[in-house]
Amino acid sequence: MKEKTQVADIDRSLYDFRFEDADSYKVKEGLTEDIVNQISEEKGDPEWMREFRLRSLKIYNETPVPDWGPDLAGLDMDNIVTYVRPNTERMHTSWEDVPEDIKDTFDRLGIPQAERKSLAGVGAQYDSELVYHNVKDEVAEKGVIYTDIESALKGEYADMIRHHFMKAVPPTDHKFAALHGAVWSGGSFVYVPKGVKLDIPLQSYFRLNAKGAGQFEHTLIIVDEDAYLHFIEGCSAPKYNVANLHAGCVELYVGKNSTLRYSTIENWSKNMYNLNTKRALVEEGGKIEWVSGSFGSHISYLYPMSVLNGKGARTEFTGVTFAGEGQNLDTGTKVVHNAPETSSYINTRSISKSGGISTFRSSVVMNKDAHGSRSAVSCESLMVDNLSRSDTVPAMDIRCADVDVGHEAKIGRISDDTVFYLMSRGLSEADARALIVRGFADNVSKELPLEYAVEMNNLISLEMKGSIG
Amino acid sequence: MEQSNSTLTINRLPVRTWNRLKLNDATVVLPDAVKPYEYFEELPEGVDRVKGKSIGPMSDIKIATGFGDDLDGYINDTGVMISGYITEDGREYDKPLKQKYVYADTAEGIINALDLTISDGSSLTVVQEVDGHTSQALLRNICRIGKNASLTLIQIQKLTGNTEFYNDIGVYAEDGGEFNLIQIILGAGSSYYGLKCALAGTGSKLSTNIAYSVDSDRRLDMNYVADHTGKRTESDISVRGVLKGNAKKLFRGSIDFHKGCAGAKGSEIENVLLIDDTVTNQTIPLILCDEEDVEGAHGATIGRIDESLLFYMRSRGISEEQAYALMEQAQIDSVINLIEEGILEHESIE
Repeated sequence: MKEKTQVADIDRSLYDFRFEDADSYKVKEGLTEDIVNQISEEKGDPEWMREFRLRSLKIYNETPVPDWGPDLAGLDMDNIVTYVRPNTERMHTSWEDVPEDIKDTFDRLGIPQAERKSLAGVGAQYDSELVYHNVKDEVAEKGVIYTDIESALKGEYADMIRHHFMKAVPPTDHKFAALHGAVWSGGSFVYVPKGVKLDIPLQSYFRLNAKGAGQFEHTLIIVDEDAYLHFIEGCSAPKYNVANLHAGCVELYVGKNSTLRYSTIENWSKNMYNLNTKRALVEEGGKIEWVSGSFGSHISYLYPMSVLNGKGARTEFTGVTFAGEGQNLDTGTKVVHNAPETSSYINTRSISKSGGISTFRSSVVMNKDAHGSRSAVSCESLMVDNLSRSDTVPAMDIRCADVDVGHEAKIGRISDDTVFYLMSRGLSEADARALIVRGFADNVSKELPLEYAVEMNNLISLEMKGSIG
Repeated sequence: MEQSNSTLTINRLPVRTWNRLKLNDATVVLPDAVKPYEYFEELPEGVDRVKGKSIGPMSDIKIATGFGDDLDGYINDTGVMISGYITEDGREYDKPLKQKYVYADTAEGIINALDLTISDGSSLTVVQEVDGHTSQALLRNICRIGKNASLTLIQIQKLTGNTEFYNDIGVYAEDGGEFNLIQIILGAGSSYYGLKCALAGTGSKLSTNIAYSVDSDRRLDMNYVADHTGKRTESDISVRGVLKGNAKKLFRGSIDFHKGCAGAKGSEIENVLLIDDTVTNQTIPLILCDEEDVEGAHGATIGRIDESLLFYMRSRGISEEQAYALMEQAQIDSVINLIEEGILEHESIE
């Protein structure tokens, strides 16, 4: 008879702390034209943005809830607060000026330490507002712009923002893109000038503290020709017994012969509905590299999309998803090949345990002009126990003959022989299984900067920690 | 008098995906006025045929098909009579059951609904050849495979003109039961193919080998599902084809491991050769897994001939055009060659 391992649920104490939000300003729960106008007024939006928000609200009301993914019946917008301003006067450029409880939050998450050690700049969002934003002088001197998007919307980059804002992800894209368009708040704007190559990353960290709230930050990154940027995004929240919602939007514009690496370690609390939209438009010879680790959330719909518009544009997607108890994580990627000699390489791993549901969903579309293009998709799924579920749903739509499209997927369990071998070398069964799962996920950890790879491996170890039953 | 029609949703994916990809299902319109086609048949001695009902100990089992419930309801509504067949227990038949459907143009829809019961320990090959031309024709096979029984179903479709052809199969296999499907799809204006195979019995198996060639403005829409509920069940779905001209093809393939199917294995692979830039190829191979102790794999290769193979062929004096012609033929021949010699008449496939 096969031995079974009982594995404990994740110890989330690192992320699961909270502060009262009594001093903060909130709009009422729900979603109405009045609330959208109120947010717009609070933000001091230009008129076009107020109109854009109202147009998005109309689209939201007319668009049905997706009927193909995890059940969203537990998400009731009438109970979600779409705007929560923390008890601080806007954004700071020094951690000393950030209110104590908020600073303490980011201290515990290790953000200021990481900034000192290994980052070129940091943005920190708390609920609906950026509370801290800073970029190193030597980076700013190269002409790199890294600021909160709301200042940029009103300052010298206003035209650039207006030209790009929700053009890659229009509000008509899906219901929660429309919701984002209506109530977005906070987020970062990055511009890397032509020829500038940043050898250390920028990071934005998103923390949702308020109970029953939504976070709708907008990230807009423009990497000009022949440039390089690595951008890291982190997110977490304390756990509440009511639904929280994250419907952010990330729009990336990768210029000719440029490379943008976009890394995410997502560790939202397990009451979170993570309905985030990320999309990159890539020009000739450009490259978008997605590195994505999904560990948190109650329900996720997350499919970073690459639109390869220029000849020779490339995308690489490397992802790992770990679904534990009470989690239904629907993750994957989408690629559209619109130009000749474009290439996509997708490599994902998903792990399901303790009743968690993990779905890998993808689409690769090759349009008429994609002559000489290539795509390779590889997805592997690991079932850690018999309570869980794992699905793979990859789609391919090919409309050009002169292409090479390959797809492979595997699903299975941890091999008893491998566990036995590791145990014969002195490891406990729990450690052996944790080691196998860490190895299984190394497609992502080896793509991350060391500090983040360590954090990811710790998360996996915590997930796998347990006793033999 | 105006003809009334029924609109049906068929070939549903077991798990839906993005609606904008238009892969989740197919909507079709079928006529309410239908008649069965009097097909030519060679019935081996010892196979019983009973008009109007399914027969045998498994006849009460409700069997789902690849097309799904809509079609089941439609067939019931038309009142078309089922043709039931049953083999003798433990008997291995040397001769196949052969059926030929050569349609002649008709305004009415054609439906043939068969119910094949392969009794415990017996094995039978059934050959169905479909040819000719008509407006709409539907062939449905319900297959009940008993303990340690085996059914090999060989279907060859060479319809001409704008015929809309619907081919639907539902299978239920008990312990040790095996279902082998060979399909050669060469004709029809629009073709819809469905298969759902319930691998319910311990150690039951499904094997499919399918070849298609779709050209000009023709369409092919497929949905194949291996439903693993029994322990140590195995499925192997293999599909290969060629697309030319303005051809459009959609292949849905699903391996569904249900809780309790410990030790099950499933694999599926599709290999598609694209000849012209005007073709549309859609492929969605699913693995759904609700059981830990399984092994599942799927793969797809889509595109033109591999450069190194093309180079090799050129180095042997074969032009690119000839190389493609050879590879087109090879895609189909590789499945035809699986058919035992003597089962098909010489001129069946050219």
